[in-house]
Amino acid sequence: MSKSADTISAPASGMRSGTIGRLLHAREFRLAIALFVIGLLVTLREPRFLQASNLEQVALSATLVCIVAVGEALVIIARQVDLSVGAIVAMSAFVSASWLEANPNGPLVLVFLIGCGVGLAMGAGNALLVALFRIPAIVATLGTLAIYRGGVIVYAGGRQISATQLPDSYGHIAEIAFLGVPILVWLAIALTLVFGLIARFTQVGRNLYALGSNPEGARFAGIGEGRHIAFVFLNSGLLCGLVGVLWGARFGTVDAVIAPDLNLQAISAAVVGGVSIFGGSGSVYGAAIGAVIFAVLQNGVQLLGINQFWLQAVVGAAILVTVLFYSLFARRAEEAERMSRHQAKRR
Amino acid sequence: MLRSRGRAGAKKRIVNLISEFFGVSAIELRGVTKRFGPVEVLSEVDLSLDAGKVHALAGENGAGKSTLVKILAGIHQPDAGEIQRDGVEIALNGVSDAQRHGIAVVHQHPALFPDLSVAENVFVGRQPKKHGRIDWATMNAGAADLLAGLRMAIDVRLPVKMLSVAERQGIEVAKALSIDARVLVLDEPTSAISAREVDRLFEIVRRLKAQGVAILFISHFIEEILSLGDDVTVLRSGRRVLTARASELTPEKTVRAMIGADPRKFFPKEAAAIGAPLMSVRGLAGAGFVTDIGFDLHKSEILGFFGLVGAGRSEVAEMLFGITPPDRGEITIGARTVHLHRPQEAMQAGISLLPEDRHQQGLVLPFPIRSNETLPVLRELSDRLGLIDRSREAEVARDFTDRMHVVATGVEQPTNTLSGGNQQKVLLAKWLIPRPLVLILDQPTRGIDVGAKAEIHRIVSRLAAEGTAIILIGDDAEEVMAMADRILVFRNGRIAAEFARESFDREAILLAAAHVARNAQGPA
Repeated sequence: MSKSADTISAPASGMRSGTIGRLLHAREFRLAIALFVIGLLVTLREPRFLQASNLEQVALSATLVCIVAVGEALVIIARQVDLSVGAIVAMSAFVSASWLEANPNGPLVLVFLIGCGVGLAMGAGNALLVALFRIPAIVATLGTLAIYRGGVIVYAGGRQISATQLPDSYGHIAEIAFLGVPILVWLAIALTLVFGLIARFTQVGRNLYALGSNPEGARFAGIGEGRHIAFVFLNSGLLCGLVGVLWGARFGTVDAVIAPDLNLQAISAAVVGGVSIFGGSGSVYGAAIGAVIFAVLQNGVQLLGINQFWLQAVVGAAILVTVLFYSLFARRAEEAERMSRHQAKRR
Repeated sequence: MLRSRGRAGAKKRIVNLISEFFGVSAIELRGVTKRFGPVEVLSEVDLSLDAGKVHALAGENGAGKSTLVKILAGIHQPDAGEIQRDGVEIALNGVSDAQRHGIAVVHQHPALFPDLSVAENVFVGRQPKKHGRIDWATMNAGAADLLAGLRMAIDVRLPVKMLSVAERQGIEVAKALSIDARVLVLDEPTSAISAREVDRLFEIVRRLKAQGVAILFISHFIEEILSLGDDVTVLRSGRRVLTARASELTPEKTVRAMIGADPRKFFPKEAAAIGAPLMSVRGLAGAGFVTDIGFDLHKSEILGFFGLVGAGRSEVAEMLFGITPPDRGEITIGARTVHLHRPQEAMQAGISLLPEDRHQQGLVLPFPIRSNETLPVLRELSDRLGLIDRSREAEVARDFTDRMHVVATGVEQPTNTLSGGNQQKVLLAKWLIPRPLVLILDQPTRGIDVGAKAEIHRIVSRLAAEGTAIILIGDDAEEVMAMADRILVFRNGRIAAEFARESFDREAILLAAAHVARNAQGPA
């Protein structure tokens, strides 16, 4: 093992090499720049954007979407989709809150276990339908979306659980800070990093990319399709369960119709973050940055006093711009690079 | 990593020496039989792959070569017979079983992951790990090592979608080497790459052979079979009909074994007086590799297009039907020069195409026979408001369904409940209803039973007698010979030979399609 990859195969001309070159080339880097530019534009119009209290609000609102988007990113990388995430969060949030309401002195750890358990069970439902019964994910999770949401509505019976009915320690979770940054934000960062490492450095993670890139090839390579599909749905459910518990802690009030747009937000964050909707490429880091971009956009719309109803249109435009950018420029650049590679070889 | 591969290499040499001493093959198939439903695709095939030798496998399309490859790859399991490795019976119940026994398969269509890097593709499913996490540095270095051994200079961090077809094939070979394969199966590796790249591939194969790898090489090209193979086995209709040393074979002898001496099956062909020229094609080129295609087609003539898969015949059909507009060339129908950029334009010019893949391109399966048949002429069946005249539609559909002898309860029966042969008749009706001057049939009898085949031949023959000019594209030389008045043989995107009906000779036609396939290569 004396030679390194770089010395053996000299990169053909046109390929960027070296750590810095690769960093500049990474899609996540371009996303970070986009995020910076958006932040700058908002600040120029409204300097209050940079106030610590405002940034904290932005970070907190990015947090919950970010955790869901990380789970969703893995689902999409494996060429699946999970539309039921919002409903799972709502179910987990309401079940946890009503347990706490009944047992105000119960240990908080148990609330987390209950919430995660609910999420895992619902993820298992999705996994069963897609991995075992081979129902296309978009149909299966469209169905469970309605079932889970309907289940929550029936269970809640129109009731709302507010902060006054819950122990203070619960709401306190959202207020704990470490180094001046809310613990929820640290949690989202930690989860993003952990899943980033899983995606890049574990066999399961790499198999997800392989499966998403070429399902038939994965079969030829002996990669079990069912197990991996089950994994992404269980994982997504688990993360949604966790977010459900955090949702109640952050907002104080829980009812059956919370997080109505979360599935679209999570998918949008992943897509804007560079996860290919056709599977096989992208990263959880990109999805996390995507979630932050949307939080900044949302905050910007509020700060600049733009009509709230424009927000959805702005988010939609952001998605289309990203996808257009990819199909118009990035793909063309890739094509040019491929051409230059072949010409370089011929010389 | 390097050292361990060296050790494994030494182990392989020792195993090979022992195997040679006892006269056992690396892998041996005995009496392997495989059925799909009632169809026996392999019957009692024997095949032995010896260390340091290339065993070439030849056979016509559908002879069972691909099934054999899939059995060796662990994708299909035989219904009878046994597989031995070094004289011991083994079971290949999955891809990982085959890998564990050192069998590596380079499939006809590379099964790579376009979004993953070259290095990951080489080690997919078996990435090297350190402390439980994937060791990218070792993986990249290992892949670079393997590629350097194959004299391929590729950045192993590039995604595979950036590579050419030949480079992808090289990656497949590197993948095979990374499992330290004792047996390497190459399934038609030369069908999609240039002559120069074929040379490089052969060089690699010869080097692996010298290292003691047992190789099974499958090709359509007789010359490649004879120049690269030490031993040659020929399959015909799922049976092994010949195994011999390559040095004892000639191209003629091999082709004869491939086609066999089975009695000619006659298809009914009505004698038709060939009429005036109807369509003429000059200098047609396009689809990347098709060049200089020129021919005339007469009224009442059946013109056969024969060639191996990828020779360009279907591409020419798609140009004539406006699916892939040609880059160059002139098409005239009657006295009019036509420019065909869309199928609608071709249909207006009087051309119909029965596509090769009837499930994907032809029928809307859940729809009834009626809607499928009248799809191309709905506009003519509509009134001024664009509403379809249902009674006229049903009348037209009934008329053609009867003429094609479709066996069905009526024109409202959904087409997915019909047999393959009847589906094909519905498709024929669909493309006959516009009353084309020129009818192009791309493998019209593929995958249907003998009775339905004969019926379709009779219909085609009668259409020609009634004046329709027909282009018949076929895989089966016998079928094309039985039906056609004239045959154009395609090879590498050109017309390689032309045969008139009186000089039809199956061997000559097959040789023209396969023999001397790569002039540039010039084997020793």
